[in-house]
Amino acid sequence: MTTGVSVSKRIGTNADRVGLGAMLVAALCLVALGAKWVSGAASSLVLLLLLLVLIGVLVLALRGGPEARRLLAPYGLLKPGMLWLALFFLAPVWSLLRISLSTKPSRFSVDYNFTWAFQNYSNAFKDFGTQFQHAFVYAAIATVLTVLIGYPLAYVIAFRGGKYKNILLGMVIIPFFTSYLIRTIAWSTILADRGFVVRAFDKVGLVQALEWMHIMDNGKLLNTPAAVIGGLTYNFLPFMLLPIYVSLEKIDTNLVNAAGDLYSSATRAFRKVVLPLSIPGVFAGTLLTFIPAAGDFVNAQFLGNPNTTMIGNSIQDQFLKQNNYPVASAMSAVLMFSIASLVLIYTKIFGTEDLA
Amino acid sequence: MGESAITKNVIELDHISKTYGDFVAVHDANFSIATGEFFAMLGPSGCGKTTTLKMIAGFEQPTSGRVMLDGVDVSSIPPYKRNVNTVFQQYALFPHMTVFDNVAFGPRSKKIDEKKIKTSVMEMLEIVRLAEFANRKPTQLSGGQQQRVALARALVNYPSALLLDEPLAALDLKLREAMQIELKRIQREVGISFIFVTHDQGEALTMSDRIAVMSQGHVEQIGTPEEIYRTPSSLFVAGFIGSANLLPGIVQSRDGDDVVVKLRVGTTVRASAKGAPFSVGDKVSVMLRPERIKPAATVEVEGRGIEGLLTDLVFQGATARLIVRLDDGTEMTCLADSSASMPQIAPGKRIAMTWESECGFVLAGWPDKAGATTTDIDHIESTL
Repeated sequence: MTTGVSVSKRIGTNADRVGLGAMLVAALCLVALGAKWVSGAASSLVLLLLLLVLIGVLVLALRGGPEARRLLAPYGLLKPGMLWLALFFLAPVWSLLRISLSTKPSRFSVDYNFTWAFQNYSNAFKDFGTQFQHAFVYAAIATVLTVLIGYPLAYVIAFRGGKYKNILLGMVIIPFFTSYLIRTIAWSTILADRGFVVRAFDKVGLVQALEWMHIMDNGKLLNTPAAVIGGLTYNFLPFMLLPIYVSLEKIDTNLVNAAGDLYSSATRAFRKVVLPLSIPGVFAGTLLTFIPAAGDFVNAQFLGNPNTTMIGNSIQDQFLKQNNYPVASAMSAVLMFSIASLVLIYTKIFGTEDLA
Repeated sequence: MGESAITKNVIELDHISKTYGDFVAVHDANFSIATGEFFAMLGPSGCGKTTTLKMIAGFEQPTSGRVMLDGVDVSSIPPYKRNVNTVFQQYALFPHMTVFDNVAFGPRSKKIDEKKIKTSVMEMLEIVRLAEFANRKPTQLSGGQQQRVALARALVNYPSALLLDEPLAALDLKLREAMQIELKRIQREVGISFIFVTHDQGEALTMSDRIAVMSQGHVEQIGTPEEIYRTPSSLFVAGFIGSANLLPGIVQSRDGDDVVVKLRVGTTVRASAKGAPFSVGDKVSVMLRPERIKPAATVEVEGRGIEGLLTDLVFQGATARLIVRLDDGTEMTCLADSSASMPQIAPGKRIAMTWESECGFVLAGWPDKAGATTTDIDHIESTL
């Protein structure tokens, strides 16, 4: 039995490598199952392998002594998240990319043949260029607007809120306890052609000015690009406000006092001290707003018109109505990669690792 | 040194008070600080010293009274228009800027020529011995270095006065002692008035030209460290500055500057009253500093000693600490020269504690806790 002991000892001291290996094998098994790399009897085998790996690591942890457990612990803690991502992120992305390069054998077929069909991508660009453009332009404008609205709001709550801080924050957040859909539909009622907003604008005589600014169109407020952008701005405001609030709240008021003490007016103190220290919050807020806003389809559907469709609407349409999975997948892939590269560029330019 | 140089005041507080609702933070503070003076405001937390400092800086407005800076009433002028600078308790360095940019912040606010800024900032960093750290971020510096950046950032503006809010509180004991000397050196070098807030009496005694002792919003006494130590104006000051044995008694008779006090323990002693108008029958306390008392076998001069039971003798190196319990239970402390021979002195024996004629000092009233208030709480706290 001496060899058995020494082998288990060697495994014990290399438990971190065993843990890493087991985690990667388990993740690969889940991707294989989720992305349907295997089928039939083979999938049962993969499932069996997955269970064996998990049980093996468990046995090693229980029998391997404290040193082995210490080495295994990080992988044990990582495993739930990794496996979750393998099954629900990696496998679907794999399927998405695969379908985006597939063709349907016939119009009513439910199966796809993988044919390296890059024309799906060129079709996506050719047919839905405008929708892509809408998505990015509307999301960008909405992001800028949320900064312009959210920053002063966060500033007032953080620095002037006093004991009402939490109440004020609550007033911003509580509306968002109701469903996203219902809030958006409520907006369509508010902006409706005979709603009080349009009538008020009409009474005050603002309609012409707003039409000139391309906010109203033909006396209508609903079903305009402005309404879509307004909806996006409203719906994503908390995602901008909260990170900015957190970064402002952290700022020691003595820093502002120190700036004042060093002959800075309130404006200069804000520009040189408060603003730079809150930039990480603005940065986080823009990412949290822009990314989901670019893929949004709810606002364009309820507040827009056929000429304001965003790429999210087109993807939804292709997936659910046209049943054209390959082109829909290609569009999703393009959306994913273009957002990822935009974010990368943005991070490179405004990267904030300097501001710890 | 002309007379005018001494009497020229940078800051004059003209009967200022500050109240928050019912709470009186500062009551009728009325004193001046001279050019080039190292001035300490000393007191326990909540005594109003920081509030007073903030009123000088401009972060708080006095409820009544005026703050005069260089002879001009600045009571309603915002901080950024006052020519005073503050070193904040936690330094409040700008974390996103380098040491250089931190120090250059004030001159840049004033829109001084960038070339001049560079020389004056480097000069000031030279004075605080941080020139080679100019490009570091504050977080990359130690506590003592951050402290010196804060000093440089304030001093580079050559303010009329520098305000320091417990500047050494965040440092450990060793560093604090080094910084006390450093602060004093920098102050001499730049010749600017330093107004220094602290709750540490040792710090105040070591560094200041004058001290204002504050308690519960009132200025109890203003004077040089020596005056305050030797002739405190109240029981509070006597107990707060250094160690003091406070023995309660009643005035029996007057004899010129001295009074004869019959102590509660029964003994009659003579002590100096410095011309204070005590009359027969007044409740007073006799203050005796532990280091001014000498142990002896018996009281030899009538009125210059007191007997008690030696309960404890602690050898402390240069000195020995003797704890003596008087007949009424009051404990007294005596710091004796440990090299002096004390043959008959051992715990459990009855000994006398004697003093010279000028050592006893009479103060009005009795202490709350009758007997000795001999513990320097800050010192103990700081060494923990």
